[in-house]
Amino acid sequence: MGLVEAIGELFRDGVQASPARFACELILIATLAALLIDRLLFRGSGVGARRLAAVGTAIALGVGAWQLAGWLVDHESSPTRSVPLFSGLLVFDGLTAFIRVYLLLFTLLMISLTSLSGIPDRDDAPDFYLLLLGSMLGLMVLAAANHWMIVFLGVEMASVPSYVLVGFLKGRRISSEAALKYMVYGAGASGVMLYGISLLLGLLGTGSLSEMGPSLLGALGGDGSLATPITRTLILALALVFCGIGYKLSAVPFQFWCPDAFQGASAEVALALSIASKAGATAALIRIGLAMIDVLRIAPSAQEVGTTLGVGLAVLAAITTTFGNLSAFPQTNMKRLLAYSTIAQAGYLLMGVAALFVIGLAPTASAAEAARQATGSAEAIEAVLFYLCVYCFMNLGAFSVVVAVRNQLFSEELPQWAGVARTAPGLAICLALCLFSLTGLPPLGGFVAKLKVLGSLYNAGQYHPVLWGVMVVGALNTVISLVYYLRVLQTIFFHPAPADAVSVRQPLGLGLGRFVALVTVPVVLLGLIVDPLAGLLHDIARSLIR
Amino acid sequence: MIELPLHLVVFAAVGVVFLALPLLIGRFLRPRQPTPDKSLAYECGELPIGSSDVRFDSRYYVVALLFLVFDVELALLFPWATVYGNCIQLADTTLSESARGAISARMGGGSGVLVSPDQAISLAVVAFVEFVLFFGLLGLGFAYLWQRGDLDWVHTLRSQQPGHLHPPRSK
Repeated sequence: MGLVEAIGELFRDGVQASPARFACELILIATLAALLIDRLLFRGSGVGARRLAAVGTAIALGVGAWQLAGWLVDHESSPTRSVPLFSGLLVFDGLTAFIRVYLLLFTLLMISLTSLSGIPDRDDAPDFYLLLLGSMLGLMVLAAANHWMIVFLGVEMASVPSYVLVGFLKGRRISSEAALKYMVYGAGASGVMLYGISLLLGLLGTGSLSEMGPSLLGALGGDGSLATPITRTLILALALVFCGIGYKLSAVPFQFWCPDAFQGASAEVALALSIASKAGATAALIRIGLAMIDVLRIAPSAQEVGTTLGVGLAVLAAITTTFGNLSAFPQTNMKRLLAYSTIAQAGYLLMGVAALFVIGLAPTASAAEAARQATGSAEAIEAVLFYLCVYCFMNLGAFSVVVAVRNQLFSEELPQWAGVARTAPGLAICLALCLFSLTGLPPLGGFVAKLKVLGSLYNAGQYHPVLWGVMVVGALNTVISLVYYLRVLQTIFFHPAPADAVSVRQPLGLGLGRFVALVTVPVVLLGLIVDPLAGLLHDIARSLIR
Repeated sequence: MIELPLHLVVFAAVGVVFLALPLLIGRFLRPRQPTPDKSLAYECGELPIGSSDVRFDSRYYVVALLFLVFDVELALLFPWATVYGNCIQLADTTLSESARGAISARMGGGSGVLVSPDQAISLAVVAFVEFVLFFGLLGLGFAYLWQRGDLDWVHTLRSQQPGHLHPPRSK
């Protein structure tokens, strides 16, 4: 492309085409600026940070939902896979639109939870919502990234505000310690990730995810076996990149920060860390997987690289789930217990992504085989996205119960929670539903989600038998996890309350109770009425696989 | 694949040797005449006051952080300024064809490529709006910090004043 065409392209793309598709992020940026101005000019006597943040997020959510609907309509009439934004730095497709709506809906729920729970207080509200929205903005950019530097930028934009959020409860030693640990760990992980990205850039000469294929083909020539230095460097680089993303996902071996950060942070912040950053990281992993599938379509000699990566991810996922579940056993602090539980859940998400890698990157013998592979890959993506949706609501439920009980009991230690079910039966039942769903018991949403992930693992097993092993580990893990979730419920329902305990009273019709009920309903509904959401996710997943 | 580990070993060995060698040579060559003045902690020629083993004031950290923000911003502005400057020059309709060709070539156009004034103006406007947005957001953040009193050298005192953004907590 000549200079003149490039300028024309830059103008058309940068001014006319891209900002409309980037509207959600732009609205969030405007909201951030409004939050700053509100505090700056009105010194707290203005509209109020919480209302401002809620309105901004709601507008962005409306635009995001409208774009998702528009994408669906367009997709039915003329299937296009993706639209590059800002000269190919970002990409707009079904996944981008979906993750945006997901994150914005979650942010809106977070804002309503925090307004009910009283953390942050009025003075700190602008800072809190600035950091929260800033972090969401980073995750939305991460989910839409089509360039390695944007992947890095997204991870950093999401991480830096969350370090501060973890240490938000000022003057609490444990909170500062958690923030410091999280930050040091995060700095290390992003450094390693940046190293991986620099290797990739050096190897391929391009940072664009969609241009990886041609340049890899040029670098490889015909020989794509694992013995060549180029394939080894490629695997090393992708493994290093995974350090950064695995840290956001809190996958083993990058999970050390998770329990400490969750215990030190307030339950609200832990909630944001557990859901939003996992959604962003998972979307980024799916994107990398899709890019790799494209690479192998162009450079099929690198087949072995793909299978190695997929199997490696699957084994990591199995270890992550097992580690999370086993470590949750002896925990007595609810936030710490839920932290280990989220590590285990991250393992299941990772299993779905691993299935995508193995199915999508397997050698293609015939046209019929290719079609079967495309279906299998789409099912894996659908499973992961469905899991994310259910995971959002069940974790919201579990954490908001923690918030509700903490606000009255001032304790997150499990022994103190004994007998809560007697005085607050509604809360206890909602918690039970969420925990059963986290375990994966029918007829709740978690069961369907786990079934979908294990199903795609079964499909992937036909391409590499290790995945069958991972599937068995995943299934066994539901049994392990049932034990500690049941222990929580046993304490709440059957243990007598301590003699000096404050009794927790929280009817479901009021305040936090209403919120808990609101987020528990989808957990149940998603288990009973699967098809609408699964259909939407299926369309999105199919459109991503060409 | 023997080459790669070998390279790494050679690389590491050269690194260690080139660090150790000057230190070793210096140890043997330098005269040893220790005096009390020489063993003082170096504080830019001033006589040191007290022990150097103290807790460092974190106020410097804020200053350093701000410096970093604006430093990085400047680094970002350089490429922007080059493109913007070229565009403004190209937007001049009275520019001779040879000068236009030279500036276009400076922007990476290759020989014979001429950027028209209309195109140059369109790019310049985009660049200008981007700059205003970028700098505006950065400035807004800066103003926020300033108003909060995070830049005040003695900020514990000022934040106690009534009506300030940081009212004393009643806890």
